[in-house]
Amino acid sequence: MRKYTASHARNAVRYYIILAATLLFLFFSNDFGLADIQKTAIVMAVGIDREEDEFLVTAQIAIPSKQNGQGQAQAVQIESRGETVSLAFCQINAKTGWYPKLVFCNLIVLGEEAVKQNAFDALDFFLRDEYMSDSCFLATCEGSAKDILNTQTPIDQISSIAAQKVLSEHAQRLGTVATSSLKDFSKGYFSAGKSGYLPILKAESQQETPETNGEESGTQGTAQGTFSQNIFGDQNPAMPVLASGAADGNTGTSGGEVKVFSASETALFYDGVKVGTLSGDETFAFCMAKDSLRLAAYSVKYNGEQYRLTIKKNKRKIHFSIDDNAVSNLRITIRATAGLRDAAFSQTVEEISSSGVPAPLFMSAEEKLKEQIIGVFEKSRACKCDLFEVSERLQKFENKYAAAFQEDILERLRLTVDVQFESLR
Amino acid sequence: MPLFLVSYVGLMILSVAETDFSDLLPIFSDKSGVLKGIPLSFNYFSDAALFLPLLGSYRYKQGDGKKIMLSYALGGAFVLFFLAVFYGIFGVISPAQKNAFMQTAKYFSALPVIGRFDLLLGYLMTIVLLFAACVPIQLSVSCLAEVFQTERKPLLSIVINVPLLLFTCLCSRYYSKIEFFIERRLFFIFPLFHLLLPLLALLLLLKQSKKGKSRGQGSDERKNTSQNKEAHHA
Repeated sequence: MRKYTASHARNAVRYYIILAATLLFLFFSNDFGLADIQKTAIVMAVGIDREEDEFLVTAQIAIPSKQNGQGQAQAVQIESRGETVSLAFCQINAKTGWYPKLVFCNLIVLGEEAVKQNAFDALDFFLRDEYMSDSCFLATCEGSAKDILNTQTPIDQISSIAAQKVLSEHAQRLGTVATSSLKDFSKGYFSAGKSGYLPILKAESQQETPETNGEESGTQGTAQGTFSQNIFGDQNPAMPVLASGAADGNTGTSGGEVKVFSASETALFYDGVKVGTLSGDETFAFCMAKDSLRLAAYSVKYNGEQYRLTIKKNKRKIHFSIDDNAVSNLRITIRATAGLRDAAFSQTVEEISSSGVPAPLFMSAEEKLKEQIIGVFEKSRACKCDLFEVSERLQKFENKYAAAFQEDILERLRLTVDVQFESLR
Repeated sequence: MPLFLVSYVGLMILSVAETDFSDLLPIFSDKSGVLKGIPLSFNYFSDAALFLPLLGSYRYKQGDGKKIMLSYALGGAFVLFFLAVFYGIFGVISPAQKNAFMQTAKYFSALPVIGRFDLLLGYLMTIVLLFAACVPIQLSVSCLAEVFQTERKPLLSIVINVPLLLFTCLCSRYYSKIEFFIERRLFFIFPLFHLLLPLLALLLLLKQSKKGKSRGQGSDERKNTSQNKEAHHA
């Protein structure tokens, strides 16, 4: 072999730089004629309904438009049918001449009928599509997914963007929504427990319509108050959840009823089929056990008066074990750091200035949350939904019992819940 | 190497937060599955064969063995850590993921705000992989030049690259079948080259030491006879 000289090294570096530059140029220059932007439909959200053996696919497609010299995004909904979702997408091309691209699709909504059968009949297409991001939000809804995407909202001209705000990471941290992505839902479905959950998107009428004249400030104040309650984590399922800064009381579009989205309820799934529903309060309790919450609000009743606590953070631990007597145990431990946000009655200056929270109030909150978590578990157990991933924990941590216990692990499980609230200071 | 380190470390930093390492449990519970899986992974872990073209032309220096073993172990550790992160993120749906290096970092929470800069890291990794794919071809040209004792490397390069190009053009549509054939049917070829052949190279050392010994014995005998002759003359 020839001697490797310094000139060889210099040449090699030059070749590498030239090659890298060429590749960079190719990479950033264009799409090599593979996609014609004029014929490409950028799908932002997909709604899937089911009618007997057919899938009804509603694709929300972005259309860039210019109004008054300013660029403004708009969207249209294209409906198509097919025996598979893929076939329905092909119909979009046949109807419009556009090639639907799913690269920017961030939301999939499954209609009520679509989740009465295996949801993965519809989701199979998205799992196979390598251009589709599996981190997109997945939700189910009341009624049809088509209606959800056709909803006019004051939040954004494009309904799917408004829906994504409701399902955002921020809402998840407040415990108001139990969000789920395509990846998370698929992992649950293909795991030992075959279970999962999805938020239920609802389009709801605004509770208070702002008046255009007279008592202007009062009306706006009411509307803002209504929305901000939800921003800070109200567990009332009837209340819509809005993104911060969006609640300006503007009805937005003309014609048709303007609605807002909520997603505080959660649908439970077993083997791809919807088997139950968690209420808004139960969803919050489930989020407390599953997620890290920040500045979430929690309502507690004590001595007949309503209080609201701010949960600054929560440490949670779920421990699964099988003891010497072959009894399977699931222990959920929650340590929440909380302070008092407000009360439903006037307090004295001393009470307001006091940073501590009365111990009986914390005890009441602990008792309530504990009952709610047990309620969530019992509800999921009744419908075979392995919400706390017990089957997976059995396989991971107590594998020697897996073969014997796998079938009826939920029935034989003993649940212990330990909740403690601590003061902020 | 710097390109690889930047892309690998960057991608891993973006990915680790999303990883649930408990998805790797229980390790080795399915022993038969592990045993079945080992032969199927032979073709992905046959880099030791890349040392073979260095036979006879590498001058060993003190401590080189440790350095080589350390770098080889580090390479293995990088691969294992990436696989652990990949499986920790995707769990049971890992087999359904394509282009593994591009998949793990996309869940980083800041990406929706600042954009998909993880794609740049993936692009860097693609360049590294491109060079990694070229290394065996380049080394095989050197190897052939050594065998035929020729300096006409461009000709040898054509001899190797043209059939490869034709193979790529003609067989790219049969990618999955070829992958299946190499992975499932020709798996035994790879350990021959990356395990057995390097081990057999140890026999060369044995032969060398025998030669050395016989040379040593011959010189001793020559010394003895000359001494006897001198004594006889005296």
